Formats: sequence, C-alpha cells, structure tokens
Amino acid sequence: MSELATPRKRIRPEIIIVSLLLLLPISVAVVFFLPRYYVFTAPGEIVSVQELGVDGSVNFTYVREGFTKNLYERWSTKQAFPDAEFVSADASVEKDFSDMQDMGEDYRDETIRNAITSADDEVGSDTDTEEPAGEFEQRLEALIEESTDYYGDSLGLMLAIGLVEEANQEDFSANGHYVIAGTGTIEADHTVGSVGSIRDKLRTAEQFGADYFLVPKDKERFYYEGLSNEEEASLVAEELGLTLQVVPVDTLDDALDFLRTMNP
Amino acid sequence: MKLKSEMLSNVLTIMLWVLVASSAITFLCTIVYVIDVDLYIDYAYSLDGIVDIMSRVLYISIIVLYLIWIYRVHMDLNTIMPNYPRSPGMALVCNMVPLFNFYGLPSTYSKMGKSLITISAARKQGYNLQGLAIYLIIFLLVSNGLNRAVLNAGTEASSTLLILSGAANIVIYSIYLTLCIQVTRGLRNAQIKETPATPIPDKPDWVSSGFTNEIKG
Repeated sequence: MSELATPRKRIRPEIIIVSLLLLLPISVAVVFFLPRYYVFTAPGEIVSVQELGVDGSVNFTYVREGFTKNLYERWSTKQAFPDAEFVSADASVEKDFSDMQDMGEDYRDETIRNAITSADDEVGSDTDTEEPAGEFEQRLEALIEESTDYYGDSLGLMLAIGLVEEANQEDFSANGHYVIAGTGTIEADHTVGSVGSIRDKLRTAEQFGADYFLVPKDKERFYYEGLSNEEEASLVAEELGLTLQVVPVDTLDDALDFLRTMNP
Repeated sequence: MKLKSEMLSNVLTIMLWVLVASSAITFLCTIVYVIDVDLYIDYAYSLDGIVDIMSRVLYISIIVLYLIWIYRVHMDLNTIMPNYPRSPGMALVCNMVPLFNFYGLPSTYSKMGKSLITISAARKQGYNLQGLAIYLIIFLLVSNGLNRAVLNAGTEASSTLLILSGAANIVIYSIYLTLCIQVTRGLRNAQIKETPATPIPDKPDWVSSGFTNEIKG
C-alpha cells in the first residue's frame, strides 16, 4: 500500500503571535467605539460683555454642554475638560441636542432683544431719551452677530446691565476692583428668568475669581421640577464653600440697585 | 545554534512596522486637522480616534516585548561573544531605570555595535548600530519634549507643535524599527560566522592526506 504524502503548509509561529497581540488593540478599539451615549456638562468661562461689543464691566457665564457617542469621545472630552460630569443617555440625545441648539438660538435672540429694550427703558426713565427704531435694529443685529458662539438665553441679565453701564457711562466693577458675573434671562417685563446649569456656572465663576454672582430670584415663581435657581445657588455655594457672594435678583432694577449700593 | 531572540525579533519587527504605520496615519490626520478643523471632524476624527486608541495599547505591548527582546538579545550576545561587556540583566537596567537610561539606552546599542564590528560578517550592522545610537538619544529627547509640550498645551497646542510632535514620533519609532532590524541581522551574521557550516567528518583510514588537502583547498 502506498501513501501519497501531501505537504502541509505550516503557519509560522511569529504570525500567530503577532495576530494574537494585535487582537488586543483591535478589541480595545472596538469596545471604545461601540455606540454608548452620554450627555455632559463642564465649567466654561466668564466672558466680559465687552466681547459682545458692549462698553460694560460685567461678565456673563457660559458652561460647556454636549453629548458623546462612544467611550472614546467621552474619554477625549474628559481629557479636554477634566471637570466634566457625564450622565448616561440614549441615541435620541443626538436629535434632542440639535433641537435644543436651534431653540437656544431663538431664546438667545429673544433675550438680547429684551436686554436692549430693558436697558433703554431703564436709561430712558433716567434721561427721558429714546433710541430710534433703526438704531435699535442695528444694535440688535450687531449683538446677535457677536454672540453666535453661544446659545441659550442666560446672558440676558448681564447684557442688559452692560448696556446700562454703557449708556450711563457707569462702571460697576469700580475700575476692575470687583469681578461681577452672573446668569439669568431678561424678560420683556424686566424680570430675571430662571436658567439651567447653576452648579457649573457657579463653579466657573469661582474658578475665574468672581466676587459677586447674580442669579435669578425665582423661588416664588419656579415652575419646573427640582430646586429653583436661587435655592440651588445657595446650596451649591454652601456645599462647595465658595468665596463669591451669591446675589439673587428679581428684576433688572433690583440688580442695578444692588450694584449701585455696592459702589455708592 | 539557534538564536534565543530570533522569533521575538521577527515579532517585534512586525509590531514596530504596525506602530510606524499607525503613527504615520495619526500624522496625516494631524495635517488635516491643521489645514481644516471641519474637514478633520467630518472625515478624519473617527479614524484618528481608532488609530489613537490602538496605538496606545500597541505601544504598551511593544514596551513589554522590547524588554524581553533586549534581554534575550543580550543572552545571544553573551553566548556568541563570551567577553561581551554587558549582561542581560544590566541591559534591562540600562533601558528601564529613569534618568540612567539617558546613558544606558544609547550605550546599549553603541556597545553592541562596537562588538559586532569585530566580527567581519556583522561589521556593517555594527557600524549602523553605532551611528543609530546617537540619533536614538537625540530624537528620544526631542520627541519626549514635544509630546510633553503638546500634553501641557492641551487644546491650545499650536499647529506647528502638533506637526513637529507627530513627525518626531514617526522618526523615533522608525529608529527603533531600524535598530531592531540591524540587531537581528547582526546577530544572525555573527552567529553564522561563529557556527561551522558543516562539521568535517573524521577522514576514513583509506583516504590519503593528499586527497583531504584537495577537498579542503
């Protein structure tokens, strides 16, 4: 009996070892890129109203918000913003966030409009002068143009204060002696409306050395779930042992009164 | 004699090729980022991310492989050249101890080169290793410095810094790859020279001394 010997191809052991070793980085990459959604918030910055082209001394506060689609994005976001806090989410967050951004732009434009009219009313009540309609639209467009990097209406109050400073040639910072920051919308009736992310905004203001932080005085008129801005700010300031002074304000007048008392 | 480091040399060479290729892809992505951030986010971000994660894990695997390899290479060197001036353990110390490795790392390859030069078959690799040892330490310092600067700058890192750091990484990985190839070739050549190709059989009684000489001649 004769046997036909067929030559067997032998895989070189190096190839097997390399393949096994390369499986490790490939597996890690797969795990890191599997869809897994998170929303995050992180402290941002306090920004002078001068950045929006207003000759004032106060600052508005923005925080970073967004979503990540996988563990790699979450990790790289954490690298860029170490204080970021993440909450698990689902795939719908992508659409929700896009809608929120669109709405945020509308709200921002609305609060800028209210800030100009509130400041005009405030200045007008002192000096009995009124801005012509053409100038108003021009100013509105210029401010919207300058604030395209931000969305949401929380810059309204500080913008209105800045516009009053500009019109009255006032300087609430006492020539840079105080760092005044804050958050809150400004409504058509000059009241200061509630906003989100109070915790991160306070952390941001503290990081940037703010002495005073203006928040909406909304305990009596907070229609949403959870703590009002006023209550949350007071709790966070106590919990984190913040050195800045939280100042709840109900209206633009209220805020201006405080700032003028501070600088008699 | 079979070299103890042979298989590991082949594995390390392939892994280093993969690392060089991945650092080249990262470098290309960096160029796209510098030219146009939007283009980078649309087309290169995911690829860059995948390669970044893979490179980090690959890098750790290669460090472990490299240390085992350098140990076994020194075992081979001590076998081929009994008077070789560095033991495998000392070679590990030279590569691993912080600060001391600024001397230890280039001296490992410099000594290796110096010893291989004495073997005619491995002379070329010996000279190459001695030359590469200088570039190794220079580029190691440059790439470490640049990578640290990128890390410290975070999101504020300038385009020039990002490009220089990416280029320095490709160069340093390529130097390691070349070193690995040269050491492997040098050892192979030195080992062939040291091992007789075919043992000369004892001559049978009936073979005359003249015939033997003829064969040898």
